[in-house]
Amino acid sequence: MVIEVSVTEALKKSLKEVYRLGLEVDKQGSIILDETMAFHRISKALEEYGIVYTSIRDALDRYSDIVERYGLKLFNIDKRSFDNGILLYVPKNTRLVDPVYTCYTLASKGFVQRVYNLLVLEEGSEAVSVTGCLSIVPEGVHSSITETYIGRNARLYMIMVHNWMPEVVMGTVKRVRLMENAQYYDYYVNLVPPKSMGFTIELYLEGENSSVSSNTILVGRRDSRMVYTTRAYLEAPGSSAELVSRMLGEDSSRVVSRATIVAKAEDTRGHIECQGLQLSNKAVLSTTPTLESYVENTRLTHEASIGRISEDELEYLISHGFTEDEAVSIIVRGFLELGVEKVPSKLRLLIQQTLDRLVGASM
Amino acid sequence: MDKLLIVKDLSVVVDKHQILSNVGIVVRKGEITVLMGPNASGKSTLLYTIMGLRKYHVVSGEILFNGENIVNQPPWIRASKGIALAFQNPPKIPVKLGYIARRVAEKHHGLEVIDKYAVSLKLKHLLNRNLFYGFSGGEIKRTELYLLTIKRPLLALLDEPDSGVDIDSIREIAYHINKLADNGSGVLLVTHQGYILRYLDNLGMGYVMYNGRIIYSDTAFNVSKKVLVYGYSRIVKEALGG
Repeated sequence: MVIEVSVTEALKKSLKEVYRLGLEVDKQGSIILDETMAFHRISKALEEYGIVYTSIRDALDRYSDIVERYGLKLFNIDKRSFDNGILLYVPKNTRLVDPVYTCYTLASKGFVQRVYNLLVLEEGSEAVSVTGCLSIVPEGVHSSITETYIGRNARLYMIMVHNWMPEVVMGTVKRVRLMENAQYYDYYVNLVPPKSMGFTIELYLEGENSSVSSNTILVGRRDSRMVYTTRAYLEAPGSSAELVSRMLGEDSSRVVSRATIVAKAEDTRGHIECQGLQLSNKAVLSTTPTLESYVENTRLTHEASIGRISEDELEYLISHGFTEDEAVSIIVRGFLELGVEKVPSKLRLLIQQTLDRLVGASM
Repeated sequence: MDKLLIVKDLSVVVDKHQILSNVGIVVRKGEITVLMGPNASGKSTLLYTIMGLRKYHVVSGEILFNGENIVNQPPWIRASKGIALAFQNPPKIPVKLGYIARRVAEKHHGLEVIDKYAVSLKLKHLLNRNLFYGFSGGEIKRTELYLLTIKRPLLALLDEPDSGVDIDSIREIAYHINKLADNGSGVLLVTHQGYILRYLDNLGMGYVMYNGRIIYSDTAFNVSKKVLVYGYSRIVKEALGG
């Protein structure tokens, strides 16, 4: 039997900055603000159902069995070095119907924030994780590692909205393991780019018929440098991966999107789609789709394109009564619209509003 | 009936080439005015110039819309005054039809009709698709008519809404053009072969354009009959002599 868990406890925090990400923190979910844990009540409520949602430090004390069993596997890291992070553990056949919000803020200048997250979904469970990262100081370093285990027939939605400042440097590595029939959906968008960003996601499809869908929106502005790398390893028969990205190049930004699918098992499918829209002569966009097969029976495809808005497209929209600026914003907004229909309905509005603001800011 | 649009002695240059010379036409409210002519005679250029697209430079003449000369106004101002254009071959745009329709409707206070017209023009299934990506000929024409209709224009400029579509689609498109005129819009319809005219009511004047000039005019009914019976070459010969 599947148990559905709803987080009804509302946490009200006067964290205006968090609203800049559009996260409805006062309605449901919780917040981590650096050292301050503001989610004890929710954590307690969830504990009754066997769900663990706590800080990684607390987890190392109280749930070291879970951390040892599922975490710290793929990385050679010293657990004493974490400044922050969470453990989300959803037991067998439990569906966490409300999104779990986690928000990291980089709040002191020159601060180096090291985050380790562990997400574990046991067999037949489901969760929606929404992560917002923002900086309220102009400089700092955010580095994070996330390990994710998705058990048999389990499903995880992962939505990330980032809002950085011009001098922030961030590096993120995520590794996801999927068991039989497990599903992983990933959505990333940055509202304001950091000075430099390295983001790597590695997806290991270890179970038969497991699937991933990764959707990434990379907005390059000012002189930001961004490198986003996604690699999917189709290791079990019937597994499939779809990696989709959109890059927007404004000002003198440089955006690199690399996507790789490696087929190591029969009956697998993989598709990569990378599209770039260049809005400035000084911006540099680069995309590299890579397909690698070690088996006979797989179907791997990719399509990639980089272009500008054509005069015909502009003229057409202008004839519909839009000014040139409005026409550009319509094309940009439409370009960024991807994969929203796959997001749980509760979060669609968040994403739509985020994209509206993104386009509003670029005009 | 009221004269909605008067084009007077209009000469137009595109990329340094003169395309239109001393063109004069009149479009009245609630009437379908028909512009016919062989390929590359300048029919589309006239529509684009009335809409104000930037490639089309008016070197002389006037475009009077409701009595006001709009020659120097940008297209979005003309659109806000009630002029709308349906393209013959619109470009593919990587934005969903539903999104564009919503934005167009917001601009022209037409939000309450976007669903109604999507149903009546049988376009509901296309709303989630990128504009004109993989659309059939009929779907392109119906979509153009849809985006035009939700603006509830005073003047509808229709560039060959009947080309490349099957007979059932032509009837359907004609039905919606009739409705535009019934609701009081003036329609300037460009058609190459004129087949659609047999399904249109409220026909007004007809013009034949050749080589950037109006060479013949009569009622739209008579013009189309003449074109169907004699073909353009004979009309050209009669008009230009020789």
